Amino acid sequence: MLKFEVNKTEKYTTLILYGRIDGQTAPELDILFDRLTKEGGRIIAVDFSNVNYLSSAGIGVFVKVQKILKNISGEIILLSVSDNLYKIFSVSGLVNFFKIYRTEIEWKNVPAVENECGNLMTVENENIKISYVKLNDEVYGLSVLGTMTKIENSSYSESDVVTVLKDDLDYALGVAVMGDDYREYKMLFGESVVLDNNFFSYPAVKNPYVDYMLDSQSDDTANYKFLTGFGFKGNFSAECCFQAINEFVTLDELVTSVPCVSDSPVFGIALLAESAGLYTMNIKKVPVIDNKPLSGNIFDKDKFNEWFDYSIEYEFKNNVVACAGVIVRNPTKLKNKSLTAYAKNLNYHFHAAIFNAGLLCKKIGSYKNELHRIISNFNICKVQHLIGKSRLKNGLFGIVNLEEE
Amino acid sequence: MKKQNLKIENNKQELKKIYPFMDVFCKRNNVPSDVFNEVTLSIDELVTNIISYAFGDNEQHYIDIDVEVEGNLLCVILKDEGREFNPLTYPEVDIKKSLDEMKIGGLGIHIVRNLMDEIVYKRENNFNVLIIKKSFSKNEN
Repeated sequence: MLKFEVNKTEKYTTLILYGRIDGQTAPELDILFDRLTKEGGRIIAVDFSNVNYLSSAGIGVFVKVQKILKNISGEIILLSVSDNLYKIFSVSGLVNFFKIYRTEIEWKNVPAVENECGNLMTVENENIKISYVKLNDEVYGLSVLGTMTKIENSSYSESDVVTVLKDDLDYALGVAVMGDDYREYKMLFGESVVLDNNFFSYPAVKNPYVDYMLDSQSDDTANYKFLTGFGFKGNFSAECCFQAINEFVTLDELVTSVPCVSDSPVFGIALLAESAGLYTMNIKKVPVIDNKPLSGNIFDKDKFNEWFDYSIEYEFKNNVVACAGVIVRNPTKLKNKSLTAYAKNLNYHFHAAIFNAGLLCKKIGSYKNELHRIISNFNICKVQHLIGKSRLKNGLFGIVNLEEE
Repeated sequence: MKKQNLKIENNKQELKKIYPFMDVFCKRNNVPSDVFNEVTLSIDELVTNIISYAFGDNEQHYIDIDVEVEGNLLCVILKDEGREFNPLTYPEVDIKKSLDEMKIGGLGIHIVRNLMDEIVYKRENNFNVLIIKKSFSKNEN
């Protein structure tokens, strides 16, 4: 059994190991590092004062975790390494890849790394800590795409399709599709999200010939077809990172805290987060006139199951989620329009591209690099409407100040 | 010359017997602690390799660990009845690679090569015989 102690401070996770790190305990150490990184640990200082034995199996774990952490601006630091152990690290070639301090004093004398962003600000409440850097006060137009009212009785037709040039929106969410011929694409509408000009869509029909659509900068003349949705384009007024104070923060709580970062009445938000369990839904029939119910509303109790797939328990517990969202400080600020069709008083609407399990860098300012790393290296599972009780652990987001056009 | 033997089964649970066995032997024979650490680690790495690769079946086998001190030389002989397996034929690990290219396979034998003064492999009467040697200065004690 591996014996250890964990201490967490603002900047570091300190891991004190005891005894032997060998073929027996190395798998336990691997699991422990996995837990610490999933809990948000990025800089992990490992104290070796009480380790008397380290074999290549243990070294393998340190190398594996160091590779993961270096990708997300984190690292393992080795502390209080005795001469005996230093020799093992040295002959293994590890001294080039780890900061190693033979004594704690040596470590404490290293000047603390200053945050590279100048004016770092922080807001914190019992649920969440948000650190952010303000970049500008620019305000951009919120594009309200199509009409939401026709979704309720599934009465969209070809004339309701809003064509958006790819270049006109950086971020968007809604019911959308890509394609040229309405007869071809009309049965492929579904939950969609645009993230820095990358289009992700989850067709509403069962067994479509594509599971999801992804278009990454393929053709700049391409365009999106929306039945309903919101979109925006513009520079981030603030770049932020957040960390749940406890195990997780809900999307509801995150949305409540975001207005502390900007004075704008309406925001667009581009969010990347690690999930701790999501509640999601997606429309599973295309809301065009061909599918119009004989009477009533698709959100009615007797029709909801036929029209929507939704979570009945928390799913996606360690996934990377990339979202585009719109938040309204005061719901009445949107002229006669709701943000969502199914809960008209809700002051936000988020769509998420859900990727496989992984870790994110938490450095402010790295949102776009991280988004592109995730899009290129991770597999996407689903595109979903995100529900407020969804749980997030930590992540990065950018805010765009918006006003209605 | 002082000599002692430990016989273990080809089961990774058995590896934990090596450290206390060597601890007692080295203390009794005034082997300095850094040499004790390096030789014990080397035995652990080599026996781990033997358990993992030398036996293709799921049968029980024994590995003999003979340790002896003569003058200021600590010598360990590992003997097993597995298939012919010479860890010295492992390609040398290139530790000048970048972190991303760094591979863990072969690191154990690489560590042994660097810590020991001498490693010899012999195939004798259907046994693998590995001899590792490390000299030490007696004055340190």
